[in-house]
Amino acid sequence: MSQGVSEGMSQSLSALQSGGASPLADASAPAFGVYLHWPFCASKCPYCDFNSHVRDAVDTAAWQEALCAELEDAAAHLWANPPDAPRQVASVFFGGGTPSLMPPECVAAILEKVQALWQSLDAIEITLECNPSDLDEARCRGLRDAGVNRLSIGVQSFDDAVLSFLGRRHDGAQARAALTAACKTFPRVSLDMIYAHPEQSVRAWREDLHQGLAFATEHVSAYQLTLEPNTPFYAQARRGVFSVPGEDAALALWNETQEATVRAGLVRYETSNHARGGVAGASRHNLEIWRGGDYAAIGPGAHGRTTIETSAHGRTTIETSAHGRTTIETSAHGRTTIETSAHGRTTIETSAHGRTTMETSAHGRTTMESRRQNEVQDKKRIAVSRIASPERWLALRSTGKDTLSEEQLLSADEIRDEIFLNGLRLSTGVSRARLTRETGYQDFQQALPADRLTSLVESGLLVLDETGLRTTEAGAVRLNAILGYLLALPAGDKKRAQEEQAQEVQGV
Amino acid sequence: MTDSHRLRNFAIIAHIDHGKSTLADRFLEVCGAVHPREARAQMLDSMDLERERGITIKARTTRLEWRGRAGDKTPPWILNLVDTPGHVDFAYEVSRSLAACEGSLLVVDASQGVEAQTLANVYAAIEQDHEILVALNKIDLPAADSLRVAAEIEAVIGLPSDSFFPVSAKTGEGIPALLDGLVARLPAPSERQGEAFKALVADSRYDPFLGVVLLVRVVAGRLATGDRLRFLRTGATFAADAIGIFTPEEQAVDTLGAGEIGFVVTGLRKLEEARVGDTVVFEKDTASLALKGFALPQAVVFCGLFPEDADLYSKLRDALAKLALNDSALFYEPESSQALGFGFRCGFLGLLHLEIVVARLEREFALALITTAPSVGYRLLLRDGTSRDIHAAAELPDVTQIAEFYEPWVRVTLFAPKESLGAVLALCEERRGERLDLSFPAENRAVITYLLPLSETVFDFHDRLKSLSGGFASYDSRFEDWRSGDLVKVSILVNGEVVEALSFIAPRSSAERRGRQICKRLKDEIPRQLYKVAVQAAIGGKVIARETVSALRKDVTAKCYGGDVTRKRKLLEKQKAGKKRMRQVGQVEIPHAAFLAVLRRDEN
Ligand SMILES: Nc1nc2c(ncn2[C@@H]2O[C@H](COP(=O)(O)OP(=O)(O)OP(=O)(O)O)[C@@H](O)[C@H]2O)c(=O)[nH]1
Ligand code: SF4
Ligand SMILES: [Mg+2]
Repeated sequence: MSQGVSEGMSQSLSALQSGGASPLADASAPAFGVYLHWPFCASKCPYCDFNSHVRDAVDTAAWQEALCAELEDAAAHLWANPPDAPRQVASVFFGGGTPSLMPPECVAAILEKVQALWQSLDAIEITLECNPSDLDEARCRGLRDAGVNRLSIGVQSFDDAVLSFLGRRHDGAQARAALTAACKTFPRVSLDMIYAHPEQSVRAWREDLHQGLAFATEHVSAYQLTLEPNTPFYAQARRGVFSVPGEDAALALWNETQEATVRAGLVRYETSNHARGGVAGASRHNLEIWRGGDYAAIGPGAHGRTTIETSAHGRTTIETSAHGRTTIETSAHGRTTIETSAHGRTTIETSAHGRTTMETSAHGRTTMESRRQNEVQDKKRIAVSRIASPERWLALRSTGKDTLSEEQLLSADEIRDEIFLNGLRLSTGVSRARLTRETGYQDFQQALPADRLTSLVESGLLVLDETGLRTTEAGAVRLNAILGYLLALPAGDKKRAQEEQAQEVQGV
Repeated sequence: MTDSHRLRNFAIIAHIDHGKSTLADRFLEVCGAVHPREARAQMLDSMDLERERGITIKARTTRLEWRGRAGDKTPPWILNLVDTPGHVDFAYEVSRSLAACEGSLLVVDASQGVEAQTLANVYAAIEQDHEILVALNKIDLPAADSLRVAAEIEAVIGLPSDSFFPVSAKTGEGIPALLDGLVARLPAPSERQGEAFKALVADSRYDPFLGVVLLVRVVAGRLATGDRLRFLRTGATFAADAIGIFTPEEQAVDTLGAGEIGFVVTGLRKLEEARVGDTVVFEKDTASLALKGFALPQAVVFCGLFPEDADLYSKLRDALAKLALNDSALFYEPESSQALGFGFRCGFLGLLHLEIVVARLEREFALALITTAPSVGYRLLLRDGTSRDIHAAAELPDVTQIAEFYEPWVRVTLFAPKESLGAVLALCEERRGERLDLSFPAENRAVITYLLPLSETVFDFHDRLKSLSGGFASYDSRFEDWRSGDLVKVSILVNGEVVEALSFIAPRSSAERRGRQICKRLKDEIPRQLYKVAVQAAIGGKVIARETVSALRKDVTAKCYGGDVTRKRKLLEKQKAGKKRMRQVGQVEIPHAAFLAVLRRDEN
């Protein structure tokens, strides 16, 4: 994933003073992140719908082995190095679950495996999610020595009553102690907080958040409590056991979050993420995901994306001799030669994921029909996820079997949708360079319904300028509605369908 | 081969629910046409919609063999019965059925008596010179009062009491006697000897495998499988790929002779080539003249039908053409709307007809539809001296061009028990009615005649009438004349833009009330969105009602990390499918339900 100079420049032009170019701006080779899922927690929080499980005992040795095996598999297949420009790991993220329950040796072994399989950037970011209840200075040092260089701590609140409502295992004092230990050991620490629990006043939130900001970490994530289906909170709220703040109250809490973080010198660079210096202090791993980068999925329930350049050199060449021998160069992985009959249709699989149909006439003219995304972008983007059940995943992986539960070649529209679903969460939005590189569209008016785009810009919800497309403050807080409005229609196609119908009506 | 002198063709006619289809069940049973194991209630109501609603929608014909009460008649009499619908919206089915028969069996519920459609249908049969027999049905009911009802029929309709047969379609009592009566009293069809083959197309349907299939009444001559035929009006020619009769299942036969009713498989795929009411003759026959066809019924209500998924316009067009073959009362023409895209303006014989057409399109053709507010037709006299008929508010020219605004008035005949007379009269007065007549032809029964604007009777008149008479009042209406009225167009504006598909025509006296009501309903139906949505009702530029849907203030997902994107994208796909059903007016997305909200009328 090359990160062109233009994007780096355009970001520095953006409304947000991003503190310079992306950390990957100088990488000419495709860089990517590795996401590693540790699915175990000491107890299950009532609002949580993550793939997290409580188990009496975990065979960490078996898990370490299986996670390493999965890394090997990833490096051999979905995230394999193209021959001419090897991939580089820009970040590793241990998520969960509660990865702070992993023995540091296990973390170290996994990181060693990563280093062995791929090249890594010098500035590689290695984050691990922690719960305050497991975090003391010894654990911090162990993790640091294992190679972790950034901690993300699930503080959620400093208020004992709130913490107990949220079903957390720690209290305010433990949260403070864990943060103090982390800040002592790690240069980069992030803390998560949750707001908008029942009856929470703006003032209560201000005081709670203030305690977090007082640690002056470089990064704070502040999430509005979301009632996810299939969680105890969801069921309780439906039964009326409690009710969460309504739209206006939630908006007041959001506004307070913005003001407080800005006063503390943090800049909101994503919907719920605030960092010192904006992008400079951001979670690089997540930033790349929001920008549409690749990430490897390791562990049960992990999701990933991979991009396979079908033409590393930007061109697919097809040569057909008069005798029906066709040679196509479709990918960086080599050359395919196929025989076609003098006249007829040949269907060939150009890779495990794409089907290309070719028709060769007797005169040697070849027409090739393939998915639009291949023509425009010469690359394929694949979304994968792994089996969520820890036991099933482990059983499969330990016996060398595939753990993918879903593998989907994304269509042009789906790629577009993901670019905007992710990218508009960032204050920097979607840059022009990124749009063209990932979707093949030359500008936003092509990629999105132009009239809707204009109306959103005119009503002050979006900004469209030479750098790209991004939300205003008013837009950021209404992003779901904006995305629904913008992405509900397939780009461009609508108009054509309507014109066809107009002709039919005239013909009636 | 069937001797025509042993044939009897008759239509079973009645007011809705008086027991026609149940009586047909007994005929089928007594004549041994269905095996008891296969018998089910209202056998001939074979459409799902008919079974769900317990009413007949399509006329159905079946052939029976009757050997007389003693069971010794050989060869048997051949009876062709046509079970017709009783609901007024399907009166066109009745009139076409009558044309295929020589006689009618009028069914009257002996616990109810003469009702509005009893009268309307029997008059139609008299007009066709039908011989008429009367079945006094439901005599098993404790509330049945055959003597009173017989007296009522004599008094109101003037039929002689020696043609009355007391029966119970439920218990089967009196059925054999009725069958003997039908044979004895109904005329056999005329043989028309020496005349060339000629048949009247009474109905048709489209079959995906067979093409157009016709239901015909052979008037003269004899038709054999394979004969080449021609439609006299459309000129289309075809071979009779197969011919047959209904028993009630379709059963192939080699020939159909004068007086018989059966089906003809044409293989035609061009739907416009086949037309109900047309005459079919041999292809080489150039001398025969067309039979009298059917007067096309006048549509009473109109509405726009649009595919929910705008991409399915041509599928809807196709479906309408096929459905119209089987529902010749359905009128449609292409229409386009700025809010709804491309669709059709359709005309119906009433709201039930509208509902059934929409349901059939949705079920038989797997379409999801948006229905715009139904409206009656209006007639305009323009300042330039020309006149114009319109079917929707959208078609109205600027008021300054209109010299006179006419609306259709109907003559309504109401049957009501005396107890509810006061309430029925009040309803008619409230609906701008003019009373013409009031009489008491029988004990406890009032017959009231009113002139009413059609628009006042179409929408919820029937339901109101039923509820205030405890279900006992009925009415029938026929077009009277066009009358100039003080009518206005109530425009519905969404964020300042007129949405024609939501606008309507109303008398000035009730326009404001309805405008307010519809704004309220729209407010409830339009989901909150990025922008504030103002819904207004206006008459000639003057806003008479206004409601506001406030804008969303906070709507953003807190977390979206690597694992959440797929889920969010899939959610979006679902949303996209939902949005196909939304219609866009300016920046506002209006859901399908909002268009339906206008359809509902008063909630008193
Ligand atoms: N008790 C009793 N009920 C009857 C008799 N005949 C019909 N019914 C009932 O009356 C209702 C209407 O019967 P249908 O045969 O569907 O009436 P219909 O005239 O065909 O109705 P439409 O086709 O909708 O006009 C049903 O519930 C029947 O069971 C009868 O002789 N006795
Ligand atoms: S600790 Fe985190 S992952 Fe585990 S249950 Fe609680 S919220 Fe879920
Ligand atoms: Mg019936």
